[in-house]
Amino acid sequence: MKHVRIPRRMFLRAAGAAGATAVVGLPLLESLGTGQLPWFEALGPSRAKAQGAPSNKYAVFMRQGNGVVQSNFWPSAAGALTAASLQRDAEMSDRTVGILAPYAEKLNVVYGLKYNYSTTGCGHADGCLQCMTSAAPDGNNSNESLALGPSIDWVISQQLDAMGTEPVSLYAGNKDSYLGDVILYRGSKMRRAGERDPMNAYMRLFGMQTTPTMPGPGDVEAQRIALRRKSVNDVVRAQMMAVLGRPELSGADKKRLDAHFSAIRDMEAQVTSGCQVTPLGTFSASNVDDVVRVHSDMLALAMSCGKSHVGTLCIGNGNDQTQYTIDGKVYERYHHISHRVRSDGSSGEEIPDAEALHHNIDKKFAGYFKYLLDKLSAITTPTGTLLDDGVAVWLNDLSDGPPHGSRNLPWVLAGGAGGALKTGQYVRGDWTINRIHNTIGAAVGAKNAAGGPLDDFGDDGYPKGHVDGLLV
Amino acid sequence: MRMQTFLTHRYGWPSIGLLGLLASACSGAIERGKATDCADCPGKVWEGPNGLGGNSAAGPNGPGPAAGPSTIPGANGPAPIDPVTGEPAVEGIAWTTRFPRLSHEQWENSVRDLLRLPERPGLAATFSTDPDDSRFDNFGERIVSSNLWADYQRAAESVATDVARDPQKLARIRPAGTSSDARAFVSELARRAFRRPLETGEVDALAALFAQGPMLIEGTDAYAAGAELVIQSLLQSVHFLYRVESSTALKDGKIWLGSYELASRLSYALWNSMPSDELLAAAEADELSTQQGVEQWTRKMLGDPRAEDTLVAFHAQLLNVAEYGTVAKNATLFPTFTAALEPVIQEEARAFVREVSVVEGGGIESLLTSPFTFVNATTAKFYGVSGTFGTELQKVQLDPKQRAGVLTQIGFLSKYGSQTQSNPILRGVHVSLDFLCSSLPAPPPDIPPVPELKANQTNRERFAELTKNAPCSSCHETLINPLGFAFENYDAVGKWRDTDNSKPVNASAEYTLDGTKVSYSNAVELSQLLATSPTVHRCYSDRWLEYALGRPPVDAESGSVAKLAQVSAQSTAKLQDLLSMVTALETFRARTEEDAP
Repeated sequence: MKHVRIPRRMFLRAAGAAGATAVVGLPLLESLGTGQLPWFEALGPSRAKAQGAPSNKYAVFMRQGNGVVQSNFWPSAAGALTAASLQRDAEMSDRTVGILAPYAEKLNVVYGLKYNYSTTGCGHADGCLQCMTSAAPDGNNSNESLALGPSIDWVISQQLDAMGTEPVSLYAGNKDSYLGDVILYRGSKMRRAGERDPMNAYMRLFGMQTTPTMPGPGDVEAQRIALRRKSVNDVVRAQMMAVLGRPELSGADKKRLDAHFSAIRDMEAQVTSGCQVTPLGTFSASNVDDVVRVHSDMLALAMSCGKSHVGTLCIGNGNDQTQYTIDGKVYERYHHISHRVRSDGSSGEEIPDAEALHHNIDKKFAGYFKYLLDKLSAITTPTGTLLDDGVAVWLNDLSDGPPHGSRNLPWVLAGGAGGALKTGQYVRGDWTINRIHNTIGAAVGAKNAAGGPLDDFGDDGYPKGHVDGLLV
Repeated sequence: MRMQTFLTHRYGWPSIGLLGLLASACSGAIERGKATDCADCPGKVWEGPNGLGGNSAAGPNGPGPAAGPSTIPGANGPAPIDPVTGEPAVEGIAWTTRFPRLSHEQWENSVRDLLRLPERPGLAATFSTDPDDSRFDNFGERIVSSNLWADYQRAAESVATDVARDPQKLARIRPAGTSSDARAFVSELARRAFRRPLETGEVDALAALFAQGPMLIEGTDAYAAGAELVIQSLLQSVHFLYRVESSTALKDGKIWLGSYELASRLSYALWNSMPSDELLAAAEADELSTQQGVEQWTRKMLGDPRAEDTLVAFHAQLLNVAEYGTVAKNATLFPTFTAALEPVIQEEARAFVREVSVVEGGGIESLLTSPFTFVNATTAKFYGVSGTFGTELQKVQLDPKQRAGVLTQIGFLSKYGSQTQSNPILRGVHVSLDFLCSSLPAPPPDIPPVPELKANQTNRERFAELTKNAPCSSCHETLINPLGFAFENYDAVGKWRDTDNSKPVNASAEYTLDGTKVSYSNAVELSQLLATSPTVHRCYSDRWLEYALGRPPVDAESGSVAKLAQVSAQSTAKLQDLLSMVTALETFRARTEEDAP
């Protein structure tokens, strides 16, 4: 009979009662011998959380689909970026990143990222399933192909966040059944969805603020709520454990129930002191600009309040069919514009000036990203602004409109991750996509299997490492 | 090493979970296959190694298929040929999860029914979104993530407070004449929450929680406080959130579901909610242990208003109604087709499927051929219907020479149209994928753009010209274009047209359907051909089986699908007959032996 040695710390976290009043049954478990809890092998492996001071570092990712107009997206020259140089790029050659001129010195614009994998299915499926995962696809050659690994936000969250915390995953733009919300994974072939409704996201993040979770002395009602939850959880956990102990349980079912079991917790993560929760702004749910705005507000607030160390905002479905409004005009479906024809394939009438329209959409996204940077910069910290503590990322899962390529993928970073990243530069090279994931992960404090800075994220087929010249 | 074996071996304690054990008194051994001191069901035989879970009252051998003729048209003749094997169809069964999780819709309905609320609580709209990786929302293999767990907790607390602190609401779930009997309250409510009778140990644990009420909840009487705690825990229980299927007894290589498990499968498939009191009583009385019993109950349940919403929901998801009206149209050409029409067009589609499937009991044939719809003042113009209409939808008959069923309605047509023109590629592709269940390969990358419409050229001519050469022609000329061109009589918003770019519309084509070349002169004729096509009936049947099982059917079940298709294709069959066949299938009433993926 094999017992798995589980660190006592993990069991207590699982029971959710570290530091609180004694867990019922703990004395009995002590008598069984510390760590000899065979049923917790069900919890699966997870990397031990870093000991030491809590980190302010974070990463937020904003995703655009359908590629960009490459010819006028990038800065005009590699090397140092200044407000002046980007301003000139905007004025002289209408370059998209020129819009970010006020943040020039905090940017890392990265040219030369590429995917290793593809299917013979759809370019969007390939791009979407790789852009955050560096995973290989599952071999299904259609829009239904799946990534064989977790996305970078999940891994960062697993390492840096308190147990029971998920990344703050938000979604804006249209819905579509062909390729829906498809960039995030919690594991091989296991997608996660973003929250579309800003009110739901807000309530989930901040709705509990009126009930402080770590009850202070004299906070009788809060203590009662905590005790109530503990008693209810004990019954619920016991039922779940009995079910997990059944021999007829298949591997697949066990895995699913384990995830549920690990989610049961008695205490919510405590809120960082100094967090100023502001009310959710007004918005119209059917207006993508509004939703992007409030979601961006919420990402900044969530990072500032330590709700999670990572957030994502996915704008548009897999082949973004959103019809954006620019200068008062309702555009055709973005996907069609990216194809240059009124079609999801390529059999359709040509859209006049489609490339210019695509460029306008690119600039709109630059505007979205700039707004996010504005919000992160508006929150001050003892050492600077919230933007300096972390890294905000604007990525596109494809390289260009036609032909939806997978090289020179647009990635723009902003923020120095608390001094871990050099900034203010446009770097050009030739790197596989895992290197940018590793760089961001390492910058915010994620580790590899050996305990060093993250460099082994994604598929084993990728050589380990980072993008040159970014990490300090 | 499993926990209960460990404990039983080392300490001889019953296997109901360590913490639960400590929370309740040690209640004595529960042995496999023996009747226990179960409070609700004396004399019943339990299956499963630890005695927990709902199961057959008919004993460990379980029910088998009943002998005798069925009332379902097409079900009694010789077995149809299974197109996959080429042989007479043989029903198959497959692995399926023992823990299908409630969908958010099912959670809402179940909470309403469990607590006998007049309306749904309306909390599931705030739940963490499930990833959109399945065709139907009732896909069972879903996870409870950290966020969703917190959502369930919040919702359980909210509902529990709402019910327990309102004497009227509490009275509806308080067993009559039991005054302050905690065990009676717990047994009865938990039996309905878990959809099966409870073990003594389970009742003990919940009664102990009930007893903590006064200590943990202030400002209300002891009974209400206890009830609040119990409701909170029931709504977060694995036995509520998942439709647990624990039967394990094998007969001829199959594990037959027990009565309570079947009751849950029936009610969630047909009502999208928990079993009614009547259905649970029928399970207890062994009425579901024969095929005839299941069929009788299926028909009864289909006649209940609760089934109506399910029939509409199935079709709405099948047709992707949620995306109807989402494609904006050129404001100069179609000034009245605004964003405001989106809910109207979706409501039209729902009203249509409700009329066909609920009121008339029609299946795929009626869906594809019925020449009526529901219009308001704006949409009536797209259909060319004369009359006075307001803002509300009204049923109208359509010209049967121009309209026949869903494929000729503006929802389908406008979604698969561009801002200015019809889109024969999208229309053809979706007929193929959604009604023929074909698996078209994805288009290759790097396709050249289509040129502007020439002066003397129709839309059809332009596409034909574009796709006539290799490699495009291999898919387009035979698989896609013929289906799509049939719809050229309908413009970008679905309005009928006889000319396109000043030339007469040609909507005729040839297509190989069920191995035979068929020709048609427009979408009405195509719809009629599709309506009697064995492939279309098989596709529709496959989708219904997917919906009923909460997972896509697998190859092993192709014979089962063939039997369904045979029923669907009967001209005398109603939708109720098809669904009665679904629940009569072995794969609805049995599972394979483990072990799983």
